Parts: sequence; structure tokens; C-alpha cells
Amino acid sequence: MKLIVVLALILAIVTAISSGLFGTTWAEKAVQTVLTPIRSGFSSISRQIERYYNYVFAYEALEAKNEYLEQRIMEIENQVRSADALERENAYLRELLNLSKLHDDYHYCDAYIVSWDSSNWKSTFTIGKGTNAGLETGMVAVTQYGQVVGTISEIGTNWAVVTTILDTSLEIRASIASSGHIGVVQGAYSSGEVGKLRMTYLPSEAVLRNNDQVVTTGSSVYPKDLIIGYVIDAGYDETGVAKYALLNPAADFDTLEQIYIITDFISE
Amino acid sequence: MLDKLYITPKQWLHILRWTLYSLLFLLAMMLQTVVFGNHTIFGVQPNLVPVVITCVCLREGAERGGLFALLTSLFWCLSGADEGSVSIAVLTIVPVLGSLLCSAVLTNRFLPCLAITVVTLFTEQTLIFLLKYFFGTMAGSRFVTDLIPCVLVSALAQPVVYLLVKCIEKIGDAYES
Repeated sequence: MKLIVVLALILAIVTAISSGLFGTTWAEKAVQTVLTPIRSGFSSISRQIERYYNYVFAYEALEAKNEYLEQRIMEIENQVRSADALERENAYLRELLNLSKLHDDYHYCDAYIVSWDSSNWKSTFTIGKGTNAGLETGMVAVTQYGQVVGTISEIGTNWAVVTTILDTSLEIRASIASSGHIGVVQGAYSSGEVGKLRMTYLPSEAVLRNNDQVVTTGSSVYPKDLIIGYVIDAGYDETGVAKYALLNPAADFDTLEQIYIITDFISE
Repeated sequence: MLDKLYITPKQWLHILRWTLYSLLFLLAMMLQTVVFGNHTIFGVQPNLVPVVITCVCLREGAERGGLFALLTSLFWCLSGADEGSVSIAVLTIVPVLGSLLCSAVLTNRFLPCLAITVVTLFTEQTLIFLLKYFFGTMAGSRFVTDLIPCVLVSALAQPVVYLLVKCIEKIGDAYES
């Protein structure tokens, strides 16, 4: 019995040190590889049951209508966002910023979510594709509407863990689409802000309005102009010299089933 | 040598019992990560794995149950659990100590088992929360708004798990008596 307790402590220390030093260990990769098909099976059964439940309660028609309207809203918002950007750019850049042209260089890989991290303190999920589909850590996950979901943080042969933008560990350089003010977006961690995002380091002169779109500024990791969220609140941070904004994530995490990984893009 | 490979009916029943415990653990894990992973109950995600581990450990005793707790918590950690190292230590040590306490002072009946399950859940969640809090990624107020409801909601599953574990435990009883 003492041996079990001592073994537990040793294993806890060893796993903590090895994950800190080496990231995902071979043992974790092996377990995840074995679990992924089981999770995929459970996930598809769960989806089927959920669909049947929705069908029984006649939500299917509403869902289809809602999806159509969401798509329409996204199309209109894309047009508005393009117009905001065009006002700030010269005629040559206007042509380049045309969204449809910009997105021509993206290469996608679609994947289904097989499981979510069950912790209340972390926001990650596992997808059923990994290095066998050409995925790598650091690649960006988006919805079919181009809304940022997160980035791949761990990967195995047939699985990958995506850390969502709601997780406090993920920081993204972003800008307010209408004004161009730049800040850093990360998951909000206060109790009243769960499921929201916090944009910090905004200049004090930044004018923030409700429903302002926040988009990626573009880097080697994140393509430019991907939608992160919408401003719902703003104020001065604890220092009193910079502003922050509270955002609603653009992606609907509650209904997320399938995501698209951007495997390649031309960074500016 | 072939004689040694022969498995007695009693051994078969033992294998069946521990296989069912493992399947129960796997089911709890799948429910937690796949079904409830993206859904909340009363605003929190239930934590079912500690409930299963604690119930099995308490019913099977500190030695056999402790080994089960050690192996399953290690598997839970390797499957990508949040702060899995903490889970290995807590999900083994607390149920083992609880089992010792039950055999020495209390009984391994429903109420002591429920109390020790709550203690296990609370200890695990608190340690994970404190780690996050000290690294500045979690606001202190979430202790009240998330952690305590999570423990209470997870404890709601305990009666069902306890009943299932009790049924599985009876497999092979005839041979042991």
C-alpha cells in the first residue's frame, strides 16, 4: 500500500517534469492514438443521438434556417468589413484586401471534433486527424465562415489537440477592423467573463463601439483578417493608461462539430 | 507449463470483474470528454473519473483498489487530462487514505463513500485551480462560481456509480466465501 502511494507520487513528479521538458511524451501519444478511434465512435453515436433528439423536437428546420441566416449575416459582415478596410487603404491595397482574393491562398483540411477537455479551467478539444493528414502544431483552426477557433497545440498520428481562443494561455495579435487599433486577444479568466475574450494593450485614444469586429493582424501563424470576435464592452485596464475590450467570440463553440485547419497560406 | 496457463473459474470471474471496472472507467471518461465535454450542467462540466476511481477503491480496499486507482489515474493523465500529474497523485492517494479510514473507523457504505468522493473531487479540483491561480491564468472568484458547483454536480453521479460498482463487486463472491 505504501508502495502504491510512493509510486503515485513518483509518477506524478515524473509526468510533470517530462511534460514540462519534452511536451507530449511517447506514452501520451500512444494512449491518445489508442483512444482516438474510441472517442470518434462515441462522438459519432453522441452526434446521432443529438440529431435524433433535435429531430424529435422539430429543431431541424429552425437549425437550417438559422444556418442560412448566419451565412447571410457573415456575407454581409464580410462586405462591411471590406468596406471599412478599404476606407483606410489606398486604391492598390483595396484590390489586395478583397477577401475572396485573399482567401485563394488558403489550403484547408477539415476535421471532426472527437472530444473536449473536460476541465473547467482549460479550453481544448481533440480532433480525429493528425500528422497523417499533414497537420502540424501551430496551425490555425477556423470555422467554415473563417472565424478563428484556435491553434493546434499537440499532435499525434491520428489526433491533434486544438487550444481554443477561449483558453487563457493563447494570445493573438489582433486589430479593431473599423479603426485599425491593435491589441492582444486572449481568453477572459474572470468568473463573469467565462466564454468571452479580452483584448488588452489598446491605446487610450482607441474608440471602441459595440459590435466592432476584431480580426487577426496577420503573422506567420495567423493569416490576416480572420474574424476573432465582436466588442461587447470596453474600459480602461488596471494601469489606467491602456484600454481593454471584452469580446464575444465569433465562432459558436456550443455547436461546433467540424472545423477547418489552414494547412498553408501566404503570409504577408 | 501448460498446466500453469489454465485459468480457474474463480480467476475468470476476477478477470470479468476487473474488466467491468475498467469499462466503467472508460465509459465515465468518454461521457466526461465526449458527451459532456462541450456541454455544461448548471454551468459547469462534471468530473466523473474521480467518482469512479474513488468508488472502486473504497469497495475493493486500499491494496487492490489502490492499484486500480494508480493505473487508471495514470491512464487519465496520459489521455491529456488538465494538470494530469496532480490527478495521478490525488486520485491515488486520497481514495487509498479514504479506504484505510473506512476500514479502520467507518464502513465502506454509501455515505462514507459519498463523503470521500466529495473530498477527492474537492482536493483534485482545488489543487488544479491553485496551480492555475498562482500562474495568473485564473481569477480567484472562480473558486466559488465554478469549483464548488463542479464538485457538487459531479457528486450527483456518485449514487449511480456506487450502485454499479457494488453490483460488479458481487461477481465472484460465491468463490470467495
